[in-house]
Amino acid sequence: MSNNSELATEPLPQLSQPSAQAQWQRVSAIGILYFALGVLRFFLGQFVYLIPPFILLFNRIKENPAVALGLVIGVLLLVSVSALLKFYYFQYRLSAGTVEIRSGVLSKKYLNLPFSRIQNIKLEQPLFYRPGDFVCLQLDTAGSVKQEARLVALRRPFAEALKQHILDVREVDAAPITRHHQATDTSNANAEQLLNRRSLADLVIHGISNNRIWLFLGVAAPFYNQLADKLLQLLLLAGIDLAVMFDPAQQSWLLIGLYALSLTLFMMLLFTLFSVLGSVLSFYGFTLHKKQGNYIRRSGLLTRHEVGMKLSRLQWVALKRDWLDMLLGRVNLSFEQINGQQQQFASNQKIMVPSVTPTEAQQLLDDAYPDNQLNQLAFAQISRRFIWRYLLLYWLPVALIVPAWLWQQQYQVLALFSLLPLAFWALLIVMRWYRYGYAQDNHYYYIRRGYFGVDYYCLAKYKLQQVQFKQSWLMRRSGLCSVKLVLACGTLEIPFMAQTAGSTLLEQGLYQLQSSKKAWM
Amino acid sequence: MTEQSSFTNLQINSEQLAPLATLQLEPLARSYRLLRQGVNAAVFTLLLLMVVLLWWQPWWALPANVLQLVEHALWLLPLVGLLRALFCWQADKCKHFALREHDISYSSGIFFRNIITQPVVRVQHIELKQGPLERKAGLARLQLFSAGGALHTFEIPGLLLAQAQQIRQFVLQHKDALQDEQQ
Repeated sequence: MSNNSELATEPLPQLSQPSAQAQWQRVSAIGILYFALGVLRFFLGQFVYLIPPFILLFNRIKENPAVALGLVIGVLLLVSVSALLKFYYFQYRLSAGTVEIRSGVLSKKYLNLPFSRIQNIKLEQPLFYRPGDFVCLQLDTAGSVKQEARLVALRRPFAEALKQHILDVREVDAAPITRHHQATDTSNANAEQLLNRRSLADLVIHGISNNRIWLFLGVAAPFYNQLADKLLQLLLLAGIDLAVMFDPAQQSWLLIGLYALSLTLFMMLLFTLFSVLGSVLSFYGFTLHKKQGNYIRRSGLLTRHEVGMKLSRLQWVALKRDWLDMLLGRVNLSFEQINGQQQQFASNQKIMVPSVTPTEAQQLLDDAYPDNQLNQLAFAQISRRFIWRYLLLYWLPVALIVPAWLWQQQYQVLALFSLLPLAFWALLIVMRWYRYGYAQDNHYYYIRRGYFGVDYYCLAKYKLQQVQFKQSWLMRRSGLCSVKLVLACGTLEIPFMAQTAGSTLLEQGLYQLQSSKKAWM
Repeated sequence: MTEQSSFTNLQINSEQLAPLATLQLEPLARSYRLLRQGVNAAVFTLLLLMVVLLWWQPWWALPANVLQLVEHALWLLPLVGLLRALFCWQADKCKHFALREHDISYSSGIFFRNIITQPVVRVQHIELKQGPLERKAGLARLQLFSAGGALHTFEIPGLLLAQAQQIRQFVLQHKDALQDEQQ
């Protein structure tokens, strides 16, 4: 990966000829493997509900290995034939300003994608592409029409050169004037500048503070019973009998409590370990580079991902810390860009820098928005009425009804215990109010929110798409309002702020966006 | 700084500079309110007619609990219809829009007031919509799409067709509008 910056991007001859003269080409043969995996994944996705009966029938299958073998060979044959056909019919053609792709065995697809419409260029390198140094080039166009093109198996130097060419074309199209200025210091801008690198220790911290274990738990759900049985057997072998340990007839309550506590801690440790593993898998070797106004993120242990984002597409920078991040002194910083209608790809559309220190986060923010004042500005609080609203409207009815109902149903202990979550809920509401804050300078809005952790959002005013000013009858009487800022990557709301402050905030944002005449992407 | 001094954002049809809070709002077309009342009345009359028919029909006897339900519906339906008509009348009175040089605002809501402002520069495309009834009444809905997503499509309902076309023309001719489309 490190040799990217040194690669001389030689010009591609076919990129200068008109499309009528260009030749259709196939991708490298390793693409067959890529297609095969795709087909296999499709199969698994289709028949995932067949897995539990398959496991149940496992004993039967063991008795008839010939049938099973036949089935497996049949599936493999099907996969390889369809992969071969897919490879055979996948052709692309490069010409001046466009890439065309023909694909599909039964239903044919033809895609014509002008370079100027390409928003994102991603390079993906699965594990099996690494020996031959192949990559999969993914071209995204956002906006009203969703189109996505994949050039499945290209040699890395070729892919890099093509990527560079597309970036250059886009640059010329988008900003003919700024290009002129840049031409003077291209030698400087052509080199990649390393902005951030994450070490293994950082990833471990990220794994601990951002538990992604729920994903694992969800995937493992069908196997809980078997896992539990296996685990119990294993423990028995090790001389630990859980059934006896947790039997109140044989043990004192105190001891059982201690056992439960240590078991919980052990489970949490296990989960954390998994989470750390997940973090290392997805973020291993994380680097963030900057090149000609593009951010490039590379990471991944097995499949290496490369995600590029043009700085001008950046909608806001979010600095997020949950309570564990606060304890560990880390920040998850993300550069978010347009997400449009494709919510499910939202995570691909942003560049997240995991678990950086606050100083590093500030440096990254300063790089994207050099004139931001996040550190210097004092945030204004929102009105206390925020607390009253949520307490009276939602909390109080529940707090009155639930314990009373439990008490009436003779669950006195439960009624007392229900006060605990209720108190926690009330604390959440108060913390939400406490964390909410807003500030602005000439060019940016700064919004702070969170519960026990804190998230900061820094957004340029000229990126606004729409603004909303909301007021209920009660809010109007007390001179309050809520404002909503709509951007291409989402919305942010500041509730219960002073009415005058709210309208000035919006007025100044609109003024900035209308007078600056800068494009939002 | 020179850019700043040459920038203006005057309200259309009005001489003074207008901050958002003191926008001079224009009401929607009167025929829009009447149309909504008409539709409301028609829907509830139809519902009531069906219930009355069910009550009166001599062919099959209704079970006791259904009959009770039908008898309640006989007075409940007109009441709900009337309340809805009153609410819609008031709510429609609260719907306004305002044009400025660089943005369009739409405000609505009796108890929960909501003013949405859509800068013209950020409009990606425009749609003028007319249902069959709206066409009869000479009304149109104007939709302005931005990159804020489908949830945040800016819509002004109940405009006279000519008015809607004028606003569309205003947006299309705005010198900064739709610049993103060409990228």
